[in-house]
Amino acid sequence: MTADRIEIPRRHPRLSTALVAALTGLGIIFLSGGSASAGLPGEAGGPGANAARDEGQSAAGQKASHGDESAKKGPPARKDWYKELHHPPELPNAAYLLVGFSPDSVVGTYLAKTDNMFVVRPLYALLVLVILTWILGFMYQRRSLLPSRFQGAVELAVEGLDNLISGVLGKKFGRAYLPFLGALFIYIITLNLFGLLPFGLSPTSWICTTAALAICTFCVVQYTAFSKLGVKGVLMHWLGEPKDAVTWVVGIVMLLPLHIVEEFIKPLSLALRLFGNIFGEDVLLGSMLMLGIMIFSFLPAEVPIGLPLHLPFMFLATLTSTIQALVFTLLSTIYILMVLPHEDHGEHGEEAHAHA
Amino acid sequence: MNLLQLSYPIAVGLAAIGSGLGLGRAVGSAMEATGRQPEASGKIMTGMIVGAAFIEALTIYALISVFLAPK
Repeated sequence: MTADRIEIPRRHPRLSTALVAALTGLGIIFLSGGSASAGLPGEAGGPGANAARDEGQSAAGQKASHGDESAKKGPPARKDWYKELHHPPELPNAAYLLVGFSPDSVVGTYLAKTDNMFVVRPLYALLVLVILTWILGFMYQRRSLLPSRFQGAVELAVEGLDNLISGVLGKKFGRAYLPFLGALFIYIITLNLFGLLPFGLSPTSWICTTAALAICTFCVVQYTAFSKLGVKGVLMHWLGEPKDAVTWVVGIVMLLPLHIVEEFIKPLSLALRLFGNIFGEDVLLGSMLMLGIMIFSFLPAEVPIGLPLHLPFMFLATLTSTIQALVFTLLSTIYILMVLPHEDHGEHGEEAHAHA
Repeated sequence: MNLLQLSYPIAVGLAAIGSGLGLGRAVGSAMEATGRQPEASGKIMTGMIVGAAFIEALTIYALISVFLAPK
């Protein structure tokens, strides 16, 4: 592979990354307002317990309510550890370190409450974004015709993405949507794989992150639909291209509500799929890790020994992370394909012409 | 120990049975098609992955309902 075969996109290479980032950040902030107090993975309690730790609670109140909860009891017996958990088990991240080192500080007490542990996810998402933008921007500045090893790898990835997306959307639209979809893929795969690093965590194991990403796709799909087809075209598409009185009635009564519901089901299912896969994977790793610790339940809790039973599932998690990023991108591509003008589907049309 | 908690793994298991059957058919057919036309493997694989994502989403929904269910 040589560099002159690759067309490096010339205008605004990082614009779509920034777009994804901005929308993700906004979406996470908006959505987290609701679910930070709702406490996403089912915690013991419910409305009553949630009312006690409302958002308006002061730091002093948090400290007091935390103090009688756990704090100075010392470690529980090894076989009773799981009873202390109010949320599904997960691998330790940097926030656990912070809580462990300074459990009595304001930040420590805030993070020690299981609901608030979720605020580190947007921070991790931002961290991943900064790292990605910095590395890729740096490499973009230093690109050369004789690619270094890293540039070769990036070019390989870009060419693979180009082939994949152009294969679905056709050459013309594929190049037009490659920046957005490629940025989506690279961002999601990095977010997913970040959870496998020591003290890392997948920001995508939180539904607000995945919902924000899905809202990005939703906006792009709707913008494409209304700009390419026009308002009338979109309405006629939703009505099923009615011709006579019967199809008009069927279109208005049945097809229009179905299509409108479907437009909102698409991002919902995108978000839920990614969240469920990554969260399930994290819970699996955490459960296996805890099993490896509790296998030595005859030892006292102070002995730091455990079997790395979660190790085989790390490889499974690598596979799942990659495939889910690919699936998110491919489904976004297909949702865009579904709203593009029908005669311009690229290869299908060309093939039809070739066969005719 | 609430007996209701036993229903969560059973629900996921039932969903997984259906998804497993569907995935088996989808992937089997895709492999067969690749064997007949190895040059079209890229397109077949893309379609298979999208279909597999739709199929396994059903199990994921069951899994999420377990995570979100009141304990």
